[in-house]
Amino acid sequence: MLRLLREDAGLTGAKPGCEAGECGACTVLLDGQPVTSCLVLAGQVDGSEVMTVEGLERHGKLKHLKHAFADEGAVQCGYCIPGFVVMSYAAIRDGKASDIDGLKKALEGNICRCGGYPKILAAVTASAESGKGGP
Amino acid sequence: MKYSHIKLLSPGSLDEALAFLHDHGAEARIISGGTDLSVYLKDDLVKESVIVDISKVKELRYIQEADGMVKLGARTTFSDCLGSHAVWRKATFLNEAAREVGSTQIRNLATVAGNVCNASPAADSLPPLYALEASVTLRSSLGEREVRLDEFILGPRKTRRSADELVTEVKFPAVDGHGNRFRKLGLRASQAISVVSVAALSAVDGWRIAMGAVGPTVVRAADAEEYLDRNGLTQASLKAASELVARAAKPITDVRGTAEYRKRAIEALAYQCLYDILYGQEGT
Repeated sequence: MLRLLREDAGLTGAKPGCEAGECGACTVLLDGQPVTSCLVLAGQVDGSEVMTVEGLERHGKLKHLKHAFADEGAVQCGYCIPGFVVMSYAAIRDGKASDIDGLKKALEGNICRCGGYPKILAAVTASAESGKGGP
Repeated sequence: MKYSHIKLLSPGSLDEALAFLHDHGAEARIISGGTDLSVYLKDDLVKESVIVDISKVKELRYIQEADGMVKLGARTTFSDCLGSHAVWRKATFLNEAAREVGSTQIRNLATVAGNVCNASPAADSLPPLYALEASVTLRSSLGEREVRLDEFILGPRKTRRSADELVTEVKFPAVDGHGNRFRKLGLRASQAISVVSVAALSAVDGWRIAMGAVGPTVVRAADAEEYLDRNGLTQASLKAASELVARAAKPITDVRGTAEYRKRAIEALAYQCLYDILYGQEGT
């Protein structure tokens, strides 16, 4: 599915990282639930709704999150960020970002090789607070 | 395309899935959540020419509690398990194990039945399922059979599933929410394959302790179980029981740890499991 999104649909937000489901850079929402798109066969999503980071932006779902990431300087090289944003969106939506331990658990499947976790966690926490009820 | 030689069949019902397996089983692999098979595909380890995708077989996605049994349909994901009151109340340590599987993204895809069929000795769900004396239901277009889990799994990636069969259900007797515990040691807290794991259960008819990643299959610690049945679990029996658990482990040395380290880790995890059961710390 990751290749279909990037090479056929031109949606390059989801990134190929480990391509083994371990890094979370390719996270998208499949029928609303976050999954690593590198592990899903394109043929398996026939009839499903796939929401990438581009879709979240287009539907106005990232108002707070994207500003929070910018304000906190949460982006270093940026490669992991689309995956973090999709996963953070789901975590806030599902009420898992209200305390730091819950948020860390929710983001356990996303790896940042720059090691920029403190600022990412700060950004998501700030977004969860400013959003209150919506990411 | 890298996989263009492989044909994907996508049945929409169980009957259709069984018909596909009847016709193509010998040259087919089954995909469900895909968290294992997609990695094998990427690494060019899939030699079969057909993949049967059961992810659209919705009738297999259920968790039922009836007649003292908890039944997990083959499409039950680890996220489904975590959201299930029945699993939490009736097999808390399976819930604890489900929490240790991969990440949210993986748990949304990966299924319990897939974890069973992949038959990794390090699979997180297997020690609790062995302790629960779970069984699997296999269906083919010709009939149905039930096989005990410890007989179903033969070794790493090897099971008794015939080419035309599909595992449709994993089921186990409901146990009380108290008196069971799962502990896992990974190289990091999240997203890690087990170095070793232990599941302990104080069932009505006796103790059951199972260990992961210490042999080609999950292993029960029979001597420790017998010792606890005879002496009961007390502060005094805790240490000796944990040593007996470690003695039953026959680990190997690999990238995740040496055999010697695994033995010591097993003893520590067994001690923690039993300690938590003794002092009522389960499910925390």
